[in-house]
Amino acid sequence: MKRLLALSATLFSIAATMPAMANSLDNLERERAIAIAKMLDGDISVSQRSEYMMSSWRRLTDLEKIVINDKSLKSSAPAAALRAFNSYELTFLSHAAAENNQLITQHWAETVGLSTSDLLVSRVGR
Amino acid sequence: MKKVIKISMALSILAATSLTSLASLPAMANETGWTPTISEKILILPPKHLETAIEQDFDRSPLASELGSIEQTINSQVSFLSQLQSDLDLYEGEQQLEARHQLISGKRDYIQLMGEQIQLKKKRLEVKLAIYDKLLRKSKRSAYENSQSAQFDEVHSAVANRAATVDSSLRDDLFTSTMMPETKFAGAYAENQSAISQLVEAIENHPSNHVGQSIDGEPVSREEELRLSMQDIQSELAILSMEEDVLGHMAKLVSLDAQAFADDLNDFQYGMDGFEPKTYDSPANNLQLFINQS
Repeated sequence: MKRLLALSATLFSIAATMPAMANSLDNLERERAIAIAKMLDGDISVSQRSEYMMSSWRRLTDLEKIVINDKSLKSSAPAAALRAFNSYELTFLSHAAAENNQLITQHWAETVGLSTSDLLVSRVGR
Repeated sequence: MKKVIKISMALSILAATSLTSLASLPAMANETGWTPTISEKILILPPKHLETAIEQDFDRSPLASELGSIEQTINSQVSFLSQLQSDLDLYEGEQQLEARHQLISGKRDYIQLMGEQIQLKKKRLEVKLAIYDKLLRKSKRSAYENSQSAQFDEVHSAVANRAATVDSSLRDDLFTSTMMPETKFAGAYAENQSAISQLVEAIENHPSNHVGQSIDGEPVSREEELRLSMQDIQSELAILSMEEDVLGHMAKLVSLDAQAFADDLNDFQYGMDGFEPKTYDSPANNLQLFINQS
């Protein structure tokens, strides 16, 4: 039992001393995931969603710039970074939406194939 | 007369050896060499300085000393031969024969020295070529290792350029849509971005930024630069081969000179004082003595 406690303590201390591994791309992906979750959240009102998306837009814009200027990605996560760069439309939502003069919500929905006409012709299925 | 015979024998040997001397040159070139001491780090130098670094390394080698000393000997040999050739008409008889012998012998020495020098020059160029070949392989290896990195840079650059095109409009949109002041990061980012743009422009306009080699205005890669240098060395080697041909023809001429000299020497030895061999009477010449009986 004592050994088990000692091992747990050792593991805890190692975990506590390890640096946070999240890079700029992780932060952007987290923020984008939250923004998309809010976009699709049916439990909040339109105004709440709009208000949240406005503040998220600012954060996403900053985070996208941080990712674009993050030189460490080349060595820390080259494969993930390349994948993200190659999916520009979905990775850099704010910048890509600005290119098309669209809101982030609209741009994301169109990119993933959720246009208004698509939604109108869709049917509920099981 | 004994002296003349000695010269004649020496010339026979000279004529026989003058043509074969070129063939034995590689063996005659001693083991003086050039073992480069420069590191592959010189690859980071611009082409002009890279060439200088290699030449400086060669300059410190025993091969360079040997080449320099042969060059000096050749120069003194050339002045000796020029002087002798211009003074040749001043001599007469046996003295002229002696002078001609010295001239032919001097020409043979000159050809031999030039042959040795060509071998050393070849050795120098071969080592230089090997250095460039090594550098080229290193450069190719680095290029292969950096291919992934280059691909990343290319994609990243495309993303950065694409994002930059909407940067200012995005700032305006954010301000007008949210009616909130931009974040601290956004302000600092815009400020630094402006500074970076100005610095990049200054770098582009800096004269030292365009010192690299180019062909028809197109920049030349590191590998291409090294290949061009190797081509230059190979063309120098080709010229040395031609110089060997020139020496071969010179040797042939010296050999013919020696042959002509030997003929003249024989004339001198056996054709002196208008000597002509005796002719002896034939019975046919006195035939009339026996036919006219009355």
